[in-house]
Amino acid sequence: MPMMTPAQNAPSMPMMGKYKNGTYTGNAVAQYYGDVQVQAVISGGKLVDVLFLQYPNHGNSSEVNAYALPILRSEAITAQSANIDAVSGASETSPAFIASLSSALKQALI
Amino acid sequence: MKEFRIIMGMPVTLDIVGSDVPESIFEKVFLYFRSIEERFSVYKETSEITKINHGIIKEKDYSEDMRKVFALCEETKNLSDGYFDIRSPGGFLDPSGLVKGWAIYNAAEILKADGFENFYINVGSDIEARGTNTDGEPWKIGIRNPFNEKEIVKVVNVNGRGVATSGNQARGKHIYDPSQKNAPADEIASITIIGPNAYEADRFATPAFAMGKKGIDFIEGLKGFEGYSIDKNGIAMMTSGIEQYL
Repeated sequence: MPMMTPAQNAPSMPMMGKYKNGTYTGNAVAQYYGDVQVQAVISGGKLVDVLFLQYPNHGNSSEVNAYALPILRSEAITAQSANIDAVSGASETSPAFIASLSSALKQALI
Repeated sequence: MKEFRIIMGMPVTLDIVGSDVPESIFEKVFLYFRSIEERFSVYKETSEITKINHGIIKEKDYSEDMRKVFALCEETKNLSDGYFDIRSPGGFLDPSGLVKGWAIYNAAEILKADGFENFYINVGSDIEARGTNTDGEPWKIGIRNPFNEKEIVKVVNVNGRGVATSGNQARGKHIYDPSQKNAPADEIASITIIGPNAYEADRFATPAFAMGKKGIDFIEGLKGFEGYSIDKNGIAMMTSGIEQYL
């Protein structure tokens, strides 16, 4: 359940509808750090994947900063290329993600 | 076999190792998550939590699940020095920060009771992984770059653990440092917690994020938990025991 204030309208998600096969691009939706835009992939009438087209890219991940807690190890983050089974991150509960995916799925509805 | 749904406004993935996994077990787990959505979604006018927030349901009429969740929220608030608080500044109760992990753990127990040992459940990026993957190895969970959706910046290998991430993009304006009610915690971009299960990982991810730079120290002090936090400059700090998962 995404965290939103009661004042914000919950975007309606057509979850149980029948979908046409294809790839549908959602609206770019502004959020705190920038725009989020996703693409929904429908196969066999089901939503099988969600791809991110735009994602806020702020901060400079190569910048090295001196402050770190003395007892814990620190490192500058770098992109990994390993094969993985699943991903953990914070973005998939954002209202912007839901709004963009919702608009993509509405296009796919039969 | 892997199946994917959108429930509670989030992508839900269930991957069960095996080629002859019956469709009914997938449906059973997805149905469970839908029942959680019906009860705990703060979006739904008809959910129990919304009716509680509107004063339509009184405390004496709370469901058993709701009582259990509120008790767990209170316990987590005490364990996190007040950083985990389901009461918003507007007075509404939103136990979402705990319900998701709790529901994932319960779903994993449903699978276990039906004899499944090797699977993972991923609900909006909070994960419980048990047993091994199709290669017979621990599940490989990537930690997403909070500044670039398409990048993985760390991989942890887990078997019988929960992994949960809390970060600014998703919830930044809704996680508060109780000592500074008006200032969103923003020195940390994301913190990923590896815990004994998804419930434990998820319930401590929220307060650890709200603690900002001190969050990783909080996790270091929790027995059975490891953490990987990424600050707004792209510098990661990790707990001393995370090596076992790398």
